[in-house]
Amino acid sequence: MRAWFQRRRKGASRADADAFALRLVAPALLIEFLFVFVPLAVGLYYSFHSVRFFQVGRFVGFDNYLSVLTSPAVLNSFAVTAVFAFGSLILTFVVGFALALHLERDGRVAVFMRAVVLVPYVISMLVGSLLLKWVLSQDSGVPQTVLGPLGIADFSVFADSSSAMAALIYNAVWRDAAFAMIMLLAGLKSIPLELYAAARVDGASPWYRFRRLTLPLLKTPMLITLVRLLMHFVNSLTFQLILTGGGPVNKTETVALRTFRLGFEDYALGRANALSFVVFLINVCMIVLLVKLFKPTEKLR
Amino acid sequence: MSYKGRMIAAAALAAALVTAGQAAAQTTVTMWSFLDPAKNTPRERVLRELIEEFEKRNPTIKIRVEPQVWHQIANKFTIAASTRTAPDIAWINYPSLVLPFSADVAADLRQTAFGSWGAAEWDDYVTKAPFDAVTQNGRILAAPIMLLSNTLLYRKDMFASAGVTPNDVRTWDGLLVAAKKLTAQSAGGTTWGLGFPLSRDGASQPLAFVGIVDQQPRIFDDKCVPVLATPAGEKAIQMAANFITERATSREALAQTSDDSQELFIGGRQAITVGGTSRVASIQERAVFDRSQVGVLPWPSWTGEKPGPYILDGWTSVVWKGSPRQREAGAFVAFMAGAEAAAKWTVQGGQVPFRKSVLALPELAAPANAWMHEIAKGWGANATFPPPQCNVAALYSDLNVAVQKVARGDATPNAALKAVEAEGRERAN
Repeated sequence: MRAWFQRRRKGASRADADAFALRLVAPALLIEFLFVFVPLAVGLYYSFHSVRFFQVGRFVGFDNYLSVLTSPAVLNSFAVTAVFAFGSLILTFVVGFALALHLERDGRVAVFMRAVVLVPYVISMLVGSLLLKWVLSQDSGVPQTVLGPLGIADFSVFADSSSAMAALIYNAVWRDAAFAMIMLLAGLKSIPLELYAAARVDGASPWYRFRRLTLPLLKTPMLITLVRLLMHFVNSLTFQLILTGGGPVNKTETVALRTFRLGFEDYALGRANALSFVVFLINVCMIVLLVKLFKPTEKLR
Repeated sequence: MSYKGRMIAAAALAAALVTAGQAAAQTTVTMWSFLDPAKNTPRERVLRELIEEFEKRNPTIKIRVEPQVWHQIANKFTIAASTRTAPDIAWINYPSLVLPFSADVAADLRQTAFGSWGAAEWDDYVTKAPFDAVTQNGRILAAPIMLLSNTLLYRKDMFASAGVTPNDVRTWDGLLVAAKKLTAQSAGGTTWGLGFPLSRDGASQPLAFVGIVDQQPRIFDDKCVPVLATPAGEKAIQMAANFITERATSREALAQTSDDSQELFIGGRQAITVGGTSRVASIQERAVFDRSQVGVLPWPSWTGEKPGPYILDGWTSVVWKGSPRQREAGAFVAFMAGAEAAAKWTVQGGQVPFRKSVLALPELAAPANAWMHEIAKGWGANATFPPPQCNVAALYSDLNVAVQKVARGDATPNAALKAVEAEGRERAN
């Protein structure tokens, strides 16, 4: 390393520098190639073949894509995913942002509360979902205690499609609001306090400071948080698989769960991979859309 | 080299040659199983003893077990077979046999495992169904090791309090009436008459499936597309939904897995539950009430003349078609499925027997084992397997969704079953 810097100082060629940089990132690239690009390529290959019961069959062109895109069950899963992903995204972001603003100061209570908020996030998704399933089940007694006084004691959260979806969104918000809080808190901490002090001197109200200072300066952390959360909610499987199993009557079966079932219950890996690539393209489009929405158009004055 | 040195070298060479000869003569058979003989549960102890005994009788064969997660064995075995790295033997449960059978990687065991079996050995089984299910075009593609099925478990004390007798639940209509009688409110919540799972959990064999098979034995067509939008199917789906709509079963059942449902029975919140025969002993052991109050009921039927059909499930051993050690693997499979091993699986391993010779063992005469006889009797009277070449687990999920739809009023039985057929058609194409 030292020798390289010495050579750089002596005016080593740009090509040498690039070769050295490539050697540094090569292990990471190799891992990425083996564990991301190779499976992606295999998946793409499968998506154009008939793969039944783990046996690769004949080339079928776009048949698998047509099959999944015309399947009523898959179309239902897209609708369910839209409700779950956007419902969870909005609520998680709002709750996470509120927590970040509330716990921004480094007081003893705020630090303690940050740790408390983080607890659901550090519990594994599987355990957290199982815990919530138990708490919300009719026989745990919790729903009865809450709903009993309202005269609706005999109510099953998971047998009703609306409440099952609400439980799913609640699970997502409960767990991932902490992630949003951390990301946005980091963004808030990076805003120089002098800007707020100057705004206060200029007579800016708290709302004005939030709107004209905080929000514009948080654009990048907000974008990263939204992209990360959206991808997580569109592609997550654990919440649905554990908490509702996609029920009742497939009303909480998201596209990730449908893909899993196509691959590992119907053993139709060709179709499952075709659906995965459709979702992959949708993911890319959504990221592009979000990046465009958050494109800085106005400079902070 | 001195004379002494030459002698030592010659002895060493001779020893090496002898050892090498022995090593070459010994064949190692690899087996994937969910049981780990290094561990100590009753079934794992039985497997360990069987391996020791087999190796003692066959000194040239060594059995090496590579324990696996139970629900991944069929997937991994089929994939490994396609890359020619499969083990010689794999334990595969009946619903997963669709994988090795469809991929045509299972060896025919007629000669290797069962070639030496005489008529007495075959007549020892209480039902031939386990073999019929794995026989395709005259080839026996798997050996049944353990059998299980779902059955109805009930609380004797709750039956007595409600004035219900086992005879009252011989028909599906009788079961509904009894379950309604047994449903009771208390300060601690509701105790439900009947518990059964209706979630999309492929492991949960639907109650409706038993009702359908009772009237219509043929479930799939030749292409494995379910044929269920029939009067028999509609009647069975409506029957299962009635338990929910008439409040004999908790509405929460729509989201429950078989584990969820059985936990409620263990906790004293159900009078009757659908449970696996492999779970009876553990349910009795973990029950929060007097374990002697747990009884087993035969499946109801539509007429009540004989028990409803027991849809069998269980564990089989499959030998890989590409294995160079098929003869040795077949010999061990025959040993694991033989009468001597069957006695061990039952007496020490707690499995329900399906051989007449095991049922006659004095160890099974104790009253605590009466349930085993009850189930074996039911298997002998009316047992069947869904065709293993079809995706039965996926059908179970779809049937549960059909019952959900009818119970919620989202669809008529006919429409719900037409959707099941459509799903099955899509799956088969």
